[in-house]
Amino acid sequence: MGHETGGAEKGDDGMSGSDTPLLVIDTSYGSTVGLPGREPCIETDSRSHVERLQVNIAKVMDQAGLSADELRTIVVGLGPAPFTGLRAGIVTAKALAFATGARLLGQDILEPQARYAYSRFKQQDQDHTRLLVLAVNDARRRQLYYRLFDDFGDVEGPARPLTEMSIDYPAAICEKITAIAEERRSPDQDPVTVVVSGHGTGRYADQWERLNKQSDIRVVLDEGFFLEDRIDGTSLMAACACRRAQQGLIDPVEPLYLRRPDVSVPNPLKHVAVQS
Amino acid sequence: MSEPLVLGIESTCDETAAALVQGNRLLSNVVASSMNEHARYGGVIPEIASRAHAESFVPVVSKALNDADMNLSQVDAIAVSAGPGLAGCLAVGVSGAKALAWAAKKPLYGINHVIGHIAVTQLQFGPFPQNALALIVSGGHTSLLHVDDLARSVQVVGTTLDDAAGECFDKIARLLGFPYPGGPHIDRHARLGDPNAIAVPQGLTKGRAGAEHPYDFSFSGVKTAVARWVERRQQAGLDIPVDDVCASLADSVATVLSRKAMAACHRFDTDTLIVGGGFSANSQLRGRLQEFGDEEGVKVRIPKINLCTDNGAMVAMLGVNLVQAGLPPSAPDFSIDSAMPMDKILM
Ligand SMILES: [Zn+2]
Repeated sequence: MGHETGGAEKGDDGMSGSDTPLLVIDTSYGSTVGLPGREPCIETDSRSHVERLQVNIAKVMDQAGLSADELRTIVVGLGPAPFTGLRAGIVTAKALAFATGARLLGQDILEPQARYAYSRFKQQDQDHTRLLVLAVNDARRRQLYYRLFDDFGDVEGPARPLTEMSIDYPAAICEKITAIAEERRSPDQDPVTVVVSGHGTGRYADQWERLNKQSDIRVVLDEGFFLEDRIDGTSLMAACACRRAQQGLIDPVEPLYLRRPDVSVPNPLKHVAVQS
Repeated sequence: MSEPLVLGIESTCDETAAALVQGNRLLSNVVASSMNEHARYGGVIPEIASRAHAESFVPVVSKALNDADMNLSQVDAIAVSAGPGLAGCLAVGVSGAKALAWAAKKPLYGINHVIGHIAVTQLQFGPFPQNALALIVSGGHTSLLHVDDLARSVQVVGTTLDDAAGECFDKIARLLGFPYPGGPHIDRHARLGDPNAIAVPQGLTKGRAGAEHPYDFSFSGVKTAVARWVERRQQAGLDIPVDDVCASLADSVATVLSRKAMAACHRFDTDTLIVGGGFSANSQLRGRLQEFGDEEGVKVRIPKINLCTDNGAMVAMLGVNLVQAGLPPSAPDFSIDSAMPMDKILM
């Protein structure tokens, strides 16, 4: 971002003094509210946003001894995620930013999810295989939101998505991933490891077996949601958003629905007359 | 605090709205409607409406403050519709309002939208008299309420046992091929037709049912009777006299609403009838209520058309009443209630 007041050095996490205090709000799955570096407030019930979200925001702010007008930045999760809960978080963040004058940054949850999975599995990976991360979020109705990312190289470096963010059935996602993994295989035919990470991973464990059956693909399942990993989750979310902002990648703060509204057109009645 | 300044926020259905009211003066009134997006489906699609609310919330609130040349720190309280309405829509308005209230350190009142419809008449007619009767008519509600104290005590006198009056109009409008929303089309055609052309039943007005339910309504029989009549004409290869159908329908509905409202006024010995809700924009109803009111010595307070439909002013006005009555604001964790009962004024 170009308009920061000068002097503040950007840290490794992409955040600078002029970005903080920074509040993270995400309602992509349950809800997480937190100030990076402090214990966040996590709710696993996705139906309690209207009641709990603002109460939780007040709680984490009180615990940090902060008042609303001290906030400099608000980072809000844009999903992709089911509609109603996601919207509660985004409207809350927009209203807070409006009322406090804090800068509002939107961040999709699949990029930090992929970074989270990558940082955990890169260390375990003794064979230095090609590592791809399939970041997912449960979309209900037997579908997942997903995006496939390539090896991040430096963990702090830019994320390299190999697909668009999308929504599909796990079986269809497997087909796409297989095709991409085939293409991306290194010339010396090293095996490819695909880490499937995020909410919904475990639920469709049998589906990922399809990937495993491909001779050169090894699948690792990682159900953990980065924002439920206590303190690190909100720091990672904030870092992703601030880094993107620094690079001038300002996303519109709009929900990533990726699914059209359910529309049931009423039964067409026999039209008697059409005029106005 | 003699004249509280309240920001009212509304998002129960397809209108995102905000307004500022001070005392009983309207300072600004901003409404963004997603109605056009629903028109091609012939009714409000909740998810489309909810998405529109999420987009419009901050711009609408911001414009309401700007239009009144105010900022958030100047308001005394914020009021928001907490129900009844579409759950996904209510969730947007209430979430946003909670955030605004916390950030600006203002009390927040989660109010009943339907009571807001009658509260709004104060902008035009001044405070409620003690002991008033209210008729609420909209796409979702048809009720008679007895109002002792708008901030504290509202009782349900009668309600519809099946369809709301507006709902009945919508269904017949669809049958007649009018685009959504059909109410205004019926209204216009009804002015040109003969109200006695076809016999439309007046539900719960006669016999035992009428005696048992003097202040309740039933409109499903109206809908069925009109649909059957139209079908019989079609089967006989005859034209449908659209103006006459509309006139007969509108006359029947307006008459039964007005007659029962007047009966309730007598029952509670009140000389003031407050009318509210989207359907109170219907010209046949407005005319009939005025006519019966004049005959019976009942003052009828019907708001201007732009205050009949959903808006933020109705929410802000009820908020002013609650602040003036000294009632405590809603708890920070208050819920939405998509089926909020009409005798519940505040969450
Ligand atoms: Zn209404």
